[in-house]
This record gives sequence, structure tokens and C-alpha cells, in this order.
Amino acid sequence: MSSGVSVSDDCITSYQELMKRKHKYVVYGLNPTFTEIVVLKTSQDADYELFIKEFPNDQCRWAVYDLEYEADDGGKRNKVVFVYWSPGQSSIKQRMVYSASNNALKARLGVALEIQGNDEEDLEFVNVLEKAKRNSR
Amino acid sequence: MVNYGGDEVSALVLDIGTSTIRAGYAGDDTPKAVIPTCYGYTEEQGDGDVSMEGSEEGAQLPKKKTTLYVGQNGPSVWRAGMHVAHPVQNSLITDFAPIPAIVSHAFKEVMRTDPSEHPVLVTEPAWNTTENRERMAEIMFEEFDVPAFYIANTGVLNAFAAGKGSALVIDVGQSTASVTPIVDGFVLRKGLSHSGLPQLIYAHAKHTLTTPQPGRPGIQLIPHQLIANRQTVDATFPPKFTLREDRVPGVTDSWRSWYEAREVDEWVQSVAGVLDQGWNDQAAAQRGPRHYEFPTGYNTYFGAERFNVGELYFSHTPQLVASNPNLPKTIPALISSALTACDPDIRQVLLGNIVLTGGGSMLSGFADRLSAELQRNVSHVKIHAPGNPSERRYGGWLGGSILASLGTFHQLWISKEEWKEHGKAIIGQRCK
Amino acid sequence: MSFKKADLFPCNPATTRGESTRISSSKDKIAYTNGRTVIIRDLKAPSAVVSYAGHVQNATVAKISPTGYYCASGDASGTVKIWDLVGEDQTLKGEYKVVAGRIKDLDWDGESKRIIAVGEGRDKFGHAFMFDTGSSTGSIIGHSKTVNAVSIRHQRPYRAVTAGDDCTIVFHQGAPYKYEKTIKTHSKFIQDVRYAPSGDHFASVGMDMKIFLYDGKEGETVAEITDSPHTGSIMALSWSPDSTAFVTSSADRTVKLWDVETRKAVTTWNLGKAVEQQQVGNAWTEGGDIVSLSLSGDLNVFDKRAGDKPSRVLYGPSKAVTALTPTSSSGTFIAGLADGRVLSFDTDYKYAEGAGHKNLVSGATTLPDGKVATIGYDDLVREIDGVSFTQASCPTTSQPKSIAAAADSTLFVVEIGVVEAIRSNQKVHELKPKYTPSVVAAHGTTVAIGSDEQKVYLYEWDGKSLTETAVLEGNRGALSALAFSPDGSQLAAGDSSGKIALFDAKAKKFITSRWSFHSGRILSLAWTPDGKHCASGSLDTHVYVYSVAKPGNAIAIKNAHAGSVSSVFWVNDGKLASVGADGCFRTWEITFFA
Repeated sequence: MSSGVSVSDDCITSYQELMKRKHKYVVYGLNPTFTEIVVLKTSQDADYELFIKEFPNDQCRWAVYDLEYEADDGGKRNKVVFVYWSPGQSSIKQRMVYSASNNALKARLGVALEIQGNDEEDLEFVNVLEKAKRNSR
Repeated sequence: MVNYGGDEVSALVLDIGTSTIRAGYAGDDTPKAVIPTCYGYTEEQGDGDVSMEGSEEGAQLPKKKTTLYVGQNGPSVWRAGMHVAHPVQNSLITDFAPIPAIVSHAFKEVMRTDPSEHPVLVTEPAWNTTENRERMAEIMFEEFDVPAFYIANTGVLNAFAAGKGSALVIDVGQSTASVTPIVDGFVLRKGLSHSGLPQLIYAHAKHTLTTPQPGRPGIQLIPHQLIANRQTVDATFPPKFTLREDRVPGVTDSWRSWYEAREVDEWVQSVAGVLDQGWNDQAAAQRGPRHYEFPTGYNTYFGAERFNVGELYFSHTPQLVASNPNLPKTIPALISSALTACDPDIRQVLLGNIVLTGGGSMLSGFADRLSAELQRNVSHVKIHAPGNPSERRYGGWLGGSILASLGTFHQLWISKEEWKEHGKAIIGQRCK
Repeated sequence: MSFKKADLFPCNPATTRGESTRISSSKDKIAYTNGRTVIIRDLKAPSAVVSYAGHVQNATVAKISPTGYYCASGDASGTVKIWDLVGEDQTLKGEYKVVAGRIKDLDWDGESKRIIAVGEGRDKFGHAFMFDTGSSTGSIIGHSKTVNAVSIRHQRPYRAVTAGDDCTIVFHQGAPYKYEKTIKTHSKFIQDVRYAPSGDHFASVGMDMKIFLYDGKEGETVAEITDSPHTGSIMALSWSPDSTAFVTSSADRTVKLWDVETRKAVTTWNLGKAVEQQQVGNAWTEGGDIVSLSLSGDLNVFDKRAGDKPSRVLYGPSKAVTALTPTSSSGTFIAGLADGRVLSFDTDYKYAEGAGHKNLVSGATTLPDGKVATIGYDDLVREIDGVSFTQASCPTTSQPKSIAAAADSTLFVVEIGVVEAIRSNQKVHELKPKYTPSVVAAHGTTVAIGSDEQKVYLYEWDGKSLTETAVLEGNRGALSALAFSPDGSQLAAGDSSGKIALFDAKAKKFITSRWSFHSGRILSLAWTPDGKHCASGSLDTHVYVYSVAKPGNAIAIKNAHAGSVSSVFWVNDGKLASVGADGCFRTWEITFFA
């Protein structure tokens, strides 16, 4: 089932720009009336710590992040990660609407790898990296 | 075409469980109506006509004059010769005949609302059949004349309400315990596992109470409806009460089963628990006894035996397994079945996103024990167990309430016109 | 002995309630699918029919390339096959799995080089690729649910539009195809989106009953067509060859013709009141034929100048043919379908008039006076006179499986555990055998009943009761088909193992069981008028023609019908006809050895 919220065109174009390395990450969220998913921020900053700060501890968010890492056999790899952030302190209404809108955004962008984040531990770089490596197909 | 314009017409949300039906307005925090699913009925040899007590709807039951008694003044009121029937078993509606009457009672009498004026969202268990789904749509459109309808999966609603698109939803109800793996908002059908585990707990508890134990005789599970008066007695002393002799002959077998089940259930909810680390005689003894009083006035302290009951959720002794070939699976066994059917890369995600829901899961120590059991074999286990009893019991209803109150959800309803145009096929197309 | 393919009378398109059926057109041809078969038929030349049965799962859509050399067809497994349309061999040019679930639509680009296929998936709902190599040309993104339709602009600047269940249209730049923007005009599932042949506009229709017109180059919404709106979901849209008009087909049982410039409905064709007349697909050929498909499977052909009714209706089986009986020696027959409908075939198909069966038609037989008796899973025996059902209706005790007529017009009906004899709409005799009856045949006063226990029982019918005269053994499976030779001297008995035993019906003796080339249940047996050869149709999809004189020589017509061959019969001594689960009726010219 879905929530029926629409996705602004910006969401897809900013993702295409990230794929072309114009952004390092894009943060998405629901507009105040809970009717549309919009781009909240785009950034070129490669500092992962700064990226984590984009996720408030009482509100849900989505993001796509261009993860760069060293593969086990040496050599740099890039993998785009889709993050769905829904912290325990967010209201049940937020969680419900964001969860039911998840696919609307993720499927439109066509990202395969998703990180479900419910607390800070889920967003720690090591955990995210582990999932990305495991998911390398 | 359904169009609500500026004025939001509130939708109704209906969650049909095995023991209770929850109904309320979309947008509310809790359901306004929580009524028993089972109903009482009396039969008189006579012709044709059927009447309804407690409702304006006439139920269609053949030949004998059958009167149904639903809701709060249903099975719980003693009536001579009244039987009790359970139209929902293992969360699935097995007898649709009384459903319109029960639902009507919830909407019209308890909520005092007219369903023909509100879109209705109904929830269904993950293992619901296509026929049941279509039958429910038919009842809503044809009998209740609702303007719009949607049916949503309880497991998915619970996962979403916990903030997860992928999760392992463990739902412990009154009759069924289920494990539903959900990936990206879709139920992974091959991983669905459920068993009648709560019924085993109930049977064991009943046995424990009614058979003599060291230190106490078998306890009589007589409900207050059959007690004329009673005296206060000290703990462990024999009860002193008088029966309503006038009522005893009118008690049917099914009503007796029903009230005994209720008494056992009350006892389990108040007193039973689960040891959080696994069975250990010392730990059980150390936890201390709990006091409980029965309607007969008999009251006593229950010690380690109260943990024996809860233990059955997690482990079965070899003797028990040997004596019963059809033993329902324990919670860990259900989880194991569910995960084995899933792809290996999904398993980690699911174990890291467990959602615990259902009234039965509120048993003291349950969540801790679950965590301990899983962490024995898996490193990363995370359980989301809402502390709020309303959220825990009515997670499915709550998720439906939020969804149905969204402005953007309006375009997803199936309208009456669409039902007329496309028939049953549209249910499968739209409610995915 | 040898055979040559002769005619093909195709099945009609398969339809599903609540879903759009794709029909495409090229010159005067239309292309559609039914089961695993792709059918391409020429509306101006009915004998020019091409059928392709190469898909392993149900085919869902077929489109001919602009050059006309190839056809691309998609199926329920997400595979697109591109095959040669010109040569007889239908050589496969390419086969690619493009999405995870069903393909709902596909389109060729103007150069016949690229294809975009769309459908069901998890996170990928469409794929753009080169038709000959399968290598991708861009990516189709922007949707979150099943995509139902795709249309590619054939002029520069190249564009493509895709639309689906997420209620949005995605406008792509091409090629390589890239997301440009999302168009949010509809409020419910979008069923079709089509570019006009000129590329100036494209239009979309959906379950919200709305029609929108857009600029072809940039995708700007030009207008919502609000004149004379449909009152039900709009399932398909097709443009006129000159791009000045388009037609829409709707579940409100009408087809409307729209003028692009005035944005008004020029004509509304009303097809009826029943659910079966909901319109679920359409096409507009270059030759000017407007075709709209009813849920019943009927193809309604309209002339845009005639506003009241279709200029003709093409009827044909849209479901499996489950029973058939020839009604003359010139190739006419009555066919019963899996959904209870009954068609009569003369030079083309027509529905038998009157209320027929409500459930699968399980048998049909021709009576001596030329009437036809049919049985169905609604547990009734009905009668057809000419092309209409008569009032005669006799209920059976249980589900009827097989029917045969004796010379005195008594009908013998095999049911569960019992055989009933019915004459003049009344039961006159009942046989409760110790064996399980499965199939029946009759000749003159002789009745043969086959059993699940592999034996055939012969009886004499005296008008009042059946007297057993012989038990014939020789089959290796439950009997499933029986046929007396035209003079009654021989009896061919086919069974569930694929074996056919030949018996001398007069001497009541087994002759041979060398007629056993089939590998699956025999569904039908038919003798040539001279009694020298017998044809058989089977679940194994093959047809064999056996010879009495030389039992080891047989003509094999392999894979005659996808699914199974449900019925075979002779049109004359040299022409064999067959019908199958694919709903198609084929004829074969047989050359016998001297």
C-alpha cells in the first residue's frame, strides 16, 4: 500500500545530478502538508560526519549518498546508497506516512541499495559500508 | 467518483481480529469501538424469520429462528440456552454470515455512525485469501453501501507504523502467533509463518488451574454471571459462594468454554510471565509469587508455575513434544521458519528490524526473552516494541487510521462506481 | 502421406476485466495476443493471418516494426522476442528479458532500431534497448508502480512517454533515453498514452475517465478534453493515420471519436448495456479501420463516417474451444468455449443466439436431423437449431462429460458414475455401470462407452434400454475419445496415455494398437468419410493422421495448437480441420499414399 504522496521532479533530476558527481548527497523530506516529497538539501561536502547531522532525531528523512570506499582488492569503488531515516522519537504519524511513501521515492529513483536507519548506530559509516560491500553485485 | 472537496469526510477504520474487532475514525489515536468478535446465539424451532438483538440488521440464517447477540451485551450476558460461536479463527473469517451484524453493531450502535457516508478501510492478516478479501469488499459495497473501500495488510501497517519499510513483524494475538517478513512494503509470502501457539498456552494454563496442584485443589472457573453471592476468604482458603442455580441448567457447552477461556485469559494476562533468560528453577523461584483472585472469591499466590505457562511461547519440553505430534511452533521456531524461506541477504535486515505487536506480546518478560533467544545465534538483533499498550495492541488499526486520514490517500480508495464497473478484479489491482 | 498448412481462422484477443488489452496496427493489419499465441491479421484480407507461438508464457503485447520486417512481442515472464515477420520460418532475431514481471506494452522507435518495453517490476519498470543486440540505450526511470503504456515519438527531437499505475506520465528525452520530467494530470491509474503519427501531440487516458492532450515536443499539457466525457474508465486510445483525430474505448461501453482541433467528441458509438460490452482495447489502421475490442472478445470495426453502429463485428473464440461438432461436410461447425459461449462457423464466426450455457461447454454432437445437442458444466443438455438455441433444456443428474447421438436421435450423456439416455428433452433410460464411464460414441443402434478402467463396453440400444454386447480391451489409460468409422464397422478408442486402439466393431475384436504416436491424452478422433484413415488430436498439441491399412505410417502435424488440440474433423476426404486451446481453427491439406 502507499500513501499517495507525489514526488517533485526536482527529486529525480537532483538524483541524476548526483549520478554525474555534481552532488555528494541529496536530502529529501515531506513538505509541511504531507502531500509531496521535495528536495531539502543538496551538498558537495564529502565529510560523512556532516552528512549524519542532516538527520534530526525526531523527524524522518530520506537521502541518497554517493559512497566512496576502497574495495578489499584495492581500487576505489562508488556505490549510491538510499537512506530511509525514521528515528524512535519521531511521531507515529511521521513514521507511518514516510514508510508508506518510501517506495514512491525509492522506486522512482531506481536505487537498489537501501539503508533503513532507526537510530544513529544504523548510520555509522562502518555499518553502512558493510552493507554496501555485501550488496556489491 | 468520490470527491470530498474541502470538507474532509472522515474515513472509518475496521480491524477484525480473532478475539476483538476494533473500529474507529481515521485520524483518531485509538479505536472508539473494541467489541468481542465472538457472538452469542439462541435457536428456537420455528419458521423463517430471523431477528437481531442489539442491532437493526437482520442476519440471514436459515430455517430455525435464530437470534444473535453481539457486542458488549453479547456473549457476556447470560441467557438460557445461548451458544457462543467464533466466526474468526486464526485471524481468518471462516463464517461470513454473522459478520455484517457484528460490523453493523460496531458502526451503528457503538460508534453511532452511518457507514454509507464514510469510506471504510478494513485490515486483513497477511495470509488472508483472495476470496475473503473479495467477500469483504462485497459486504462493504453491497450491504453497507459504503462510498469507498480499501483493504490493507496488518503486518505491513505495523511495519510502517514502526518506521520500517522492511521488517520482521511478530504478532502475538489471542489465538494466533505469526511471523511476517516484509520487504519494501510487501509481504514475503513464502516466509509467512503462523501457529496456534497462544491456544497452547491457554490450554496449559487452564490445565494448571483446574487440576489439583501441590498446595491447592483444582480451581473452579466459574464466572461472575453464575455467582449469586460470595464471601471474602483468606488466601488459599476454600471459596465460599453460592451459584445462581436458576441459571446453571441454561448454560450451553459453548458458553461454558467461552467463559472458562475468558477466566483463564484474565489470569494469564495478570499473572503469567516469561523468564527473560531461559528456564531456570532458581530464577523462577526468585521472581516471587503473584496474587490473584477468582470470581468465586478463591484467591491465592502463584509462584513458579506462572512462568511455566509463558515458557511455552519459547520452548517445549521433550515430553511435551513426544505427547503431541501437532504441537504449534514456538516463537523461535516460527522465526526460524520465516527466515529460512527468505534469501540470506534479507535475513540480516529482518533480524535487525523486528517489530513486536499484539496483546499477547505484552506478557511480562516477553520482549526481553525474545531478545535473549535471538541474540544467542545472531549478533545483530533489534526489536521495536512499543511501550504504549494501545500502540502494541492496536498497531494495525493505528496504522490504518493514519493512512486513511491522509489527504493524498483519497485517490487510492476504490469507489463504489469502480466496484460496479470492474467487479472483484479491482480489489487485487488496487490494494497491493 | 504428407500435409500442407491451409487456412487459419484466428482466435480473438484475450481480455481481462479491469485491464486494458493491447492491440497494435501496421498498414491494414492488427496484432494481438491470446494465451501463448500472437496473432496478426489483415482486416482487408481475412485469409492473411500469421500466428506465432514462440512464447513460453502467455504473450501480452505484439507490435510490428515501422519497416514491417519484424514483430516484437512481450510476455508475462518479462521477455521480449523479436522475430522475422516476412519469412515463413519466423526466425528469432533476439530474445531479451527486460523487466521482472509482465510486459504491459512496448513500442518501436521511428527507425525500427530501438524498443522500449514496460511493465511490472520492483524498482525497474521499463527498459530501452537496441532490437538487434539487446544493449540498453538509456534508462527508463521515474515510475514507482507498474507502467501500462509506452509511446515513442518518431520525429526529431526524439521523445518517449511512459504512463502507469502511479498515476503519472514520465516524459523522456531520447535516444539514449533520459528522464526529463513527470506529468501529473491524472488522478487514477493511467491506461494508455499515445503519440500521434505526426509527433505533434500525444494524449493520455485513464481510470479517472479523463483525456489529456499534450504538446509532442516538450510535453506541455495543452488541454483536458472535457466535452461529452466518458462515464467509465477509459482503457485505450488510438490516433487516426492523419493525426487529426483519435478514438477512445471505455468501460462505459462506448467508443468515442474525437477531433483534435475542436477538442470535441464527433461520434459516440454505444455498444450495449452488459458488462461484456465494456470496451478494453482499440486500434486505428492506416487503411482507415477503427477497431475496438469488447470484454467479450468481439472485435468491433467502425467506419468513422457511420455513427450508429459498427460496420462489422469480427467474432471468434477468445477462450479455449472445449467442444466442437461439425454441422455439415463442408467445414461448418458449432464450437463451445470454456466460458459457456457457443459459436457457429460458416465462412466466419457468429454467436449462437439465445441463452446458452452458463459454464464450460463440455461436449457437442450433431443429431440425424441436423440439430446440435450441447452439454455444459451448468449440468444442462441444450439444443441448437441452425444458429440459435431452442427452448429445449434438460438437466443432468451430475456434471456431463461426453455426449453422443444414436440413429433414433436419443442422446447418451456420460456423467459422474452414470450414463443417461435423453430423447425429446426427457430422460428415457439410465445406466449405472460397475465401471467409471468417461466417454461415449454411437452409431446406428450401437453405443460404445469408454471407462477410466481402460476398457470399452459395447451396447445395443433398442429404444428403451442398453444391453451390453461386448467388452473391448486394448487401451493403456482411461478412455478419453471414441469414434466409429462412418459405416460403423470400426471403432477407434483413444486414452489418457496417448494410445489409440482400433477395434472391429462388428466382430467385436481388437485389431491393432499401433496408432500410438501421441504422448498425451487423446482429445478427439475423426474418421475420413471413406473410413480408411483416422485423425487424432491430443493434449500433447500434435495432430496425427493414421492409416487403417498401414498402421505404422502416420502423418504428424506437430504443435498444431498451443496448449492442446481439442477437436479434429474432416472437411472432405483431403482436408482436415483442427481446433485447440489456443482458440484457433486451422485446416490442413492431406495427401494420402495410394
